[in-house]
Amino acid sequence: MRYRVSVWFAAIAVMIWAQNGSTAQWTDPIIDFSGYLETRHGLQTKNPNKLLASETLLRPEIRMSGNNVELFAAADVSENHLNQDESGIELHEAYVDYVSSAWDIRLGRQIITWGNADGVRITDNICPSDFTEYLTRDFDEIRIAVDALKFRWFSSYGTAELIYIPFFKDGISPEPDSPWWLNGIADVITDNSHKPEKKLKNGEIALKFAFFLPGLDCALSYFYTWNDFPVYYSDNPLDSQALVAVASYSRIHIYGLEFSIPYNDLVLRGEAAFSHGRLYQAQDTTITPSKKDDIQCLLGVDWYPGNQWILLCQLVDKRILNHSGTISAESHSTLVTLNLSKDLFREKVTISAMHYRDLNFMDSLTRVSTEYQPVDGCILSIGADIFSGDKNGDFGKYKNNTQVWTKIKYHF
Amino acid sequence: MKKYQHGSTTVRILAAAILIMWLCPAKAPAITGREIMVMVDEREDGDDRKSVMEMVLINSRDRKRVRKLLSYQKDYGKDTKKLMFFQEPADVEGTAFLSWEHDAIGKEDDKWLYMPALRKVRRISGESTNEYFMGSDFTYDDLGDRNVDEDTHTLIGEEPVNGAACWVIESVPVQPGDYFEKKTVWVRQDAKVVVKAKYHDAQGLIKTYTVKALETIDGIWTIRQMEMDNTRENHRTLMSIDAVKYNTGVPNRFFSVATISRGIVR
Repeated sequence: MRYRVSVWFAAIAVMIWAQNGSTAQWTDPIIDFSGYLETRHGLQTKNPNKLLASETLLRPEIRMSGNNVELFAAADVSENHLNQDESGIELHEAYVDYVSSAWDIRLGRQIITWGNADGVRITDNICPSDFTEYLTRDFDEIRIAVDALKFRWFSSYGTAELIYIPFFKDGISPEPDSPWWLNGIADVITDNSHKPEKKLKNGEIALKFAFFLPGLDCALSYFYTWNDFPVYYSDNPLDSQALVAVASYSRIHIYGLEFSIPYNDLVLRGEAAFSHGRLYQAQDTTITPSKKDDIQCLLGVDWYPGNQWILLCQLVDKRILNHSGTISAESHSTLVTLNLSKDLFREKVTISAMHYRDLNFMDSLTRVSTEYQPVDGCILSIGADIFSGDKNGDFGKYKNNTQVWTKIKYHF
Repeated sequence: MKKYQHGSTTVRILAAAILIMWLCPAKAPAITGREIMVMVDEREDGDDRKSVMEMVLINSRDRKRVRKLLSYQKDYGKDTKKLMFFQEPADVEGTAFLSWEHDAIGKEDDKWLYMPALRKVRRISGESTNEYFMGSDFTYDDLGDRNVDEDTHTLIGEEPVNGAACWVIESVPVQPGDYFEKKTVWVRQDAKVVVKAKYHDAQGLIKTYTVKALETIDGIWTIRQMEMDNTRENHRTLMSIDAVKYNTGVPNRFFSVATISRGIVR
């Protein structure tokens, strides 16, 4: 397996060398050191008024660029003041870019974002999610970087993108001792034997054609992947006293479509994904999960009325096809989102509010925040994440985790 | 004899007329405000250009904030494609902006913004040309090519600015909705460059634009430093343009969404 990976990398290196000729392209590299230091703390507003988040993070970034080649690396040096186990140093991203006049390659650990949705993921499935703190982290912190090869061919009016992820990487769920862990029973043995092994045959492939034309952006995509989060069924082997939750994974084919159309001070956006073969948990957890097809569609309107106001509205509709009634998920669900922001005092202050509302359970998450920049690069933020509604809903179940928070971020 | 005398008088009158015409050439037809603004719009500025722009935002207490960006532009007939890569301050480093600016009246510009934290390109409205750019006193419209016929232009006189002869033109937007109701511009006659402008609305003066440094680079008149003084908000922006290069031959595909999605370009 390692041999095959080496052949891949060698082939890319030869291709880049052939493109460059034998002339040195690494003369007088520019080295840029940047990053940020952030400390953030969230306090539960209801009893017992616990700290729900308390972390200090240093993210140093280094970028070395020559004529056509660029190396980039970013690390996370974190101190979690609530859970020492989550403190430490890890590589956030590290990749090499080669840029030609008509194509580019990025190889290494990287974050890849698809789609035009705001705060919702429809076709944006390349990177798995980190739901350690549900949706209360910044969206740029929720995506987990993947080790991938990304090749793009581009022209003035479009790009063709091919992504290969050799090894499966799953999403991150809250641990049982986390206030964000609200599902299931803690005293359960998880059987992860079905998790895709780190073998090339379990790799993921994505392809996207995007067009950027006067008055219209559109894109078609395909992603051959796995479900990022396992779907469980219970098993109680005769030789075990404890309940065993078996984690199931399956291959999914996701076909995507995106468009954006500007019209006066509006931008109309749409995104749709047809997923073939997604696993759904059965209502009776002793039954193995079922494979179903589903369709998710999003329609959005961005309004730029001037005076530094922006209003983004979205409607998201999801339908599970051939819903048999035996699976736990709703056959049809609808979500609306509203995102309002305004810059004040020459962008020194930004006020914003993001609201998610699930129309099935009528539960919601509202995030309000105010950012103030006393000096360039230093951002002081305060805000609140307000969960409300039916406790059976995805937002309502975190009703007790409504929090106020503060954050200081210094970019260098 | 009499006939001869008559002929002699006619010849003398004709000769005098020719002499007068030669000594006092016919006055050229008066140039109009629109013609001057067309000359400004069509003056030589290369097929493409690259520069580093630095903006110093200065508030009423003289506190300064600096924004720096790398800019590329290329002309496609009357249309222009622009790329801007933000370099400073640190929290916006890597942000990139692509615009395809269409000269035709009524045709919206195409604009995309790359947000590095989200690794995402977002299509944005092409209408927001009256929004202030990066907290400065320049609007997107001030920095772009406004179609000459979006305003009616009237030549109201001539007046030197810093010793250079200028035409003074009053420009009034054809369609209501702009943040100014009237703009008075001073166009330097030798360079065909607007070197001063005053923006007014019903309440009076809004802001004043002044070119602080103008020079020729590769034979092209180039603004090296300009200031926008916002009288109403007691705030001003000093913009310097350095490392100017013309006709670099930058390829068409450079002005693409793929380029801005890489974020940082040197």
